Amino acid sequence: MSGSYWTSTQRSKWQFTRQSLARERACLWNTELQQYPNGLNVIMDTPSKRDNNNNTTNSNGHQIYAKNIPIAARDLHWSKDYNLRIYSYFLIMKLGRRLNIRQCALATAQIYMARFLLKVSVREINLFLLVTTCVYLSCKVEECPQYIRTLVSEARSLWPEYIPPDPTKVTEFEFYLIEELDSYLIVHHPYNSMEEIIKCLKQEPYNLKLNNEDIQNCWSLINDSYIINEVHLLYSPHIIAVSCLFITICLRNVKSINNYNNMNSGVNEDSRNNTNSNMEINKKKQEIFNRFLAESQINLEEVMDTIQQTITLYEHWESYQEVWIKFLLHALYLRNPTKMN
Amino acid sequence: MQRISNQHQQQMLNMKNANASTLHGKSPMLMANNDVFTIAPYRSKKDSNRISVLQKYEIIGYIAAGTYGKVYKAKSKVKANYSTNNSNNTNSNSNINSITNPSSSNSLNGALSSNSALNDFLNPIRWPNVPSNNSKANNSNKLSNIRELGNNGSNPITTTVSNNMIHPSSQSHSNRNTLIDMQKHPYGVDRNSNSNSTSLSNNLTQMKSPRKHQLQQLQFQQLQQQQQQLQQSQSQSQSQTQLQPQSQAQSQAHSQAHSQLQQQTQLQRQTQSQSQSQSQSRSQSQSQSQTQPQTQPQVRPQSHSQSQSQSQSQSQSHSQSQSQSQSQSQSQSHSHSHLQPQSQSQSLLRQQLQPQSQSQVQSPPQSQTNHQNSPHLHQSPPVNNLFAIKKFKTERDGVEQVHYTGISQSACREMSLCRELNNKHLTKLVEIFLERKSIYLVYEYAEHDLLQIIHFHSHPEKRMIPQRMIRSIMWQILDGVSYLHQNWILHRDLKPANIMVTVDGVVKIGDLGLARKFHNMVQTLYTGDKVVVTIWYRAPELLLGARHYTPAIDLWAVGCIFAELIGLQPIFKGEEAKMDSKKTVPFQVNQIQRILEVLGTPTQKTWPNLYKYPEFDQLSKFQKFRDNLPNWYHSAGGKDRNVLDLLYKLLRYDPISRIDAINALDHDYFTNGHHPVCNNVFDGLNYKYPARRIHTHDNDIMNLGNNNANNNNNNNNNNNNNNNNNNNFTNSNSISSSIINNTNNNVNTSINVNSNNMNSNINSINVSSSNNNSNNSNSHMHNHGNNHMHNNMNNINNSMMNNNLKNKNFNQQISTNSNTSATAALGGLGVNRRILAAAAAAAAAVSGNNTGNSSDSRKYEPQRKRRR
Repeated sequence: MSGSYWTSTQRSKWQFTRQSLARERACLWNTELQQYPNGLNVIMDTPSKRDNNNNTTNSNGHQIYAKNIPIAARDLHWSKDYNLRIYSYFLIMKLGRRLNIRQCALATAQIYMARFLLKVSVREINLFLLVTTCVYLSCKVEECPQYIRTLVSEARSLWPEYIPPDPTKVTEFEFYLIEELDSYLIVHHPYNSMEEIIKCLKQEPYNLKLNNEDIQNCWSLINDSYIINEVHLLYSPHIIAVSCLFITICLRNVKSINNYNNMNSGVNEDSRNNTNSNMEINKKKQEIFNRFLAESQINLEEVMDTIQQTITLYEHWESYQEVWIKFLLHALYLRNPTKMN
Repeated sequence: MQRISNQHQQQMLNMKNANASTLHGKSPMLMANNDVFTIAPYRSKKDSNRISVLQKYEIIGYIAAGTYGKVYKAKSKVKANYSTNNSNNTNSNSNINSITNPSSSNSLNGALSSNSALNDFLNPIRWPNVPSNNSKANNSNKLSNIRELGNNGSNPITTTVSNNMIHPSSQSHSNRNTLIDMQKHPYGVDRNSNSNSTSLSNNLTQMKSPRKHQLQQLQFQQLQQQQQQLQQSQSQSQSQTQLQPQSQAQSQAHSQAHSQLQQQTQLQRQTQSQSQSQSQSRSQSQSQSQTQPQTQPQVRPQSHSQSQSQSQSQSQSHSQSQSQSQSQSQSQSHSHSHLQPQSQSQSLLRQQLQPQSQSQVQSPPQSQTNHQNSPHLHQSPPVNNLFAIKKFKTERDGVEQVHYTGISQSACREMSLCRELNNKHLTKLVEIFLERKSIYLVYEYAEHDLLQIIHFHSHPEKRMIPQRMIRSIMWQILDGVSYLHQNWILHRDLKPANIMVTVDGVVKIGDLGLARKFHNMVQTLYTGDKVVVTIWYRAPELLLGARHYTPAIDLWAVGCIFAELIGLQPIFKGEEAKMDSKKTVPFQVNQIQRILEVLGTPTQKTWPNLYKYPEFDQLSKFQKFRDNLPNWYHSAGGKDRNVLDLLYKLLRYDPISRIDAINALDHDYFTNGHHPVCNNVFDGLNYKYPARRIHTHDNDIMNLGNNNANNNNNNNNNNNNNNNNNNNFTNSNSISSSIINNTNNNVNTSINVNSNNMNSNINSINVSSSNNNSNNSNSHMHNHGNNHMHNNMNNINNSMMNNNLKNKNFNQQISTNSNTSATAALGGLGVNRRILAAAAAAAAAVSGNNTGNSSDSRKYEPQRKRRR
């Protein structure tokens, strides 16, 4: 049913348990190990600092050496490599922004990508082509179709090395994408759930009105949740919405209060009063929200897990190295003609 | 070491250069190689695992053709075997069925789509009341099983051994994989050779050691034997003779073949029952299943067998969730004992299982009833066997060339929406095939549609449709529409031709190609499609150019259908104003005129927002009419006041006050009648409606002819494409040649080169077709060559008849193809169009010749508009 998540194929066909998700991933992991036992050879070119006999130095004084990234390393495995996930997330966002595609369609594209890469290795396909195809298909499904030529030329201007000029490559790939998705194309997103919860919070007995900033924050948190796509494969949209609301209301505000306290330690009375009132408001908000959570019968375990994963995501994001993942993909797709037998 | 590092340095320098060039644009940019562009290895992997539509369905003929593609009537091959088989050995049936299922759910190695396909296949065709959502647990199991299988597949030794020797239950897991691998397609000749080669090639890639190789050969031999047997058994069962075991090995394979067929069919029932077992508590399904008493309330006459399969499904889910559990091994070994009764190593197990199998044959009351009732199920009407396959083309004739546009918006809608929807009054999507650049949506088959029924009543002379029947039809339509609307879906193309009626008298709303979700819209309805709904059924607000409209447009269409059922002709039969060259939407003067003539001119009072519509000004140009609906109704012979009232409410001008589907269902017409509304449209009728007319002259579902021409075009126009094709050739060659080496088949390699064009697993017919891509004038020779290959593959092929027939057909086709491609070479690129035009002309000719003329009326029914 497309009207409600509870009877949707998203729930009945594409929602995993922790175990089944782990199994899926292990399976892909195993096939990757089998298929690409040699890992990936990259040629490093770093400014030389130490002298090493095995390595030669080129004219720029840079050190050149070959490095093998074993297949068992975390890199380029969708399930483990946060660099890759963050990078591919932004690939979709970038392409979408260029074409002014609505977030809803892009979120669908993110889910398509996550589902696809759960079954197929990044090494097997062309990530950039996948991104383009996901966006193309999701736009169709969300009823805002893009002309394929526009889309492909846009994608080509972004990643000229990876996108073939021929749009039929995208349409061809579309078939394989749909096949991997099992042609279950309609996806429910947390955005609606978020709005409904906010509406519900406004009413009696909660009377909790969130300001625009909070809503905006929550919205962006949901956007980011597509990077940790496990949660979307594991939990219902409302779980994600509630988790993001919890972070905005309870965690973030606490942080800002702490900041205020630190800041205001030596500042005048006025602002201190101000912050005190802010604090009280926030405290009240949190209490109300906690009450709401307690009364809502939402699976709190899942909520906590989602929150945990979101926080982990931001930790990973701190150490995100775009250059490195770009380099790896470059090596994988352009420098490695024998990688696929 | 030094040399290596030198090499690296060299590479490094190259890279530096490349980088520099990307930065400064001086030298050609480093581009991804062809494999990255075309993802060829991935594609060939997927293609080789794919199950073709033709493997599962036999095309009977086509029902209708349109710009989108065609709708075909098809018969399921699996089920066909099933029924013939059953007549012979219903006895063993229930036993085998009860156990072999876990394995069959695993059968589709990696081919996910096919898996889902099979599973979907099971959706309640027989029991339309039953909700078909598989429970969550089942689903996750399904998914995990597919993956598990991938792991097991990498272990060919154990699988082969177990298969040859029939290992006891310890090996059961891997065992069942192979069994499936070998018996993937129990259907017929070409399919078998096909599945052989695919499973072989799968295994070959994983095999390296000589020992494995030997085993592989063994396996292949067995496969061949089995295949042979399969064919024998098929032909035998078809000729209704009893099966006589010949030698030990043969009879083994024999029974295998049989049980496999049953297994397949059972699988279908299984999933049906899965959907049922959903309603049962999980805890029950966890407990031991085989002989557990069933407490499930019984829904339909068939429910005995349902409950039987329920217990099976429990065992299935059980064994799936606990891969090493006892129940699994038990059920597995059980299955083997039935699969290969002659094997000695099985005797122990059989003894163990004796009580169970006995129980099914003899005493315990519950299982006995099951057993007795299972034949009943098999005797259910053959309709269940039939399917309508809607084929969407993805190629479009452009001005310059045939280009490949990907999935059309309407295919995308139909696919995505039908996957989600599940209602008794909507045509049920059974499965989806994506293959050869086309989409095949397999629906359950409906023998009639309203257009046909109306036509039957209006020709040669008018005979009213019985009141009861209209009431039943209307109620069912409204039920389906209300389901759609509750799911935030607008149908936007309701008309008699799109409303099907099954033989059982169940109304099914079909064709969701224009349907659209109106929940969370990113774009306005108008931006997506400027014109919706076939003109005669188009609501007045649409005719007045509404940019935003509501589900009420569907209710207007329902009202029109209602009127048409009463009056036996379209109530507002206007002439459509054609779109001009600028593609602006024309104002439909004639259609509005027709509506005004019957319903009177709308006023500010009857339609408060009237003046807001873009085309409001046009309305003043018409003369004023009075409301004429009661006269219309009486002249149509109607007397029922409730009918008129409902008609009024459905055909209300103002979309806001027009009745909605749910309220319409509560209307007095349905609730206050003398009889309750019957579930069966045909209830109480003493005549039968004629069956759907099928055009059998063109069963080329794969559109091989067109494909050929297209390939030619592409190759001529597109160098890039050429490269890709070459790539493909080399790739698949390696696979095929390895097959040849391993099987010691004397197959001419050159043939093979040709035979592997794109989809190696499309059955032999297709394979031979792709041949003449390379050389038109030689197409015949190639084709014959291919026949040879094909025959070799099917080595000791007993039922060559089937094969030859197909090939004969094929020769004809190819000869026409070579002609058309010749013209293509001369005249340019419009081939596809020409073929289509010819096909359309042929279709028209055929339908014109048809004595009954349901197709005549179709001819003057205006085409629906679709634009983006």
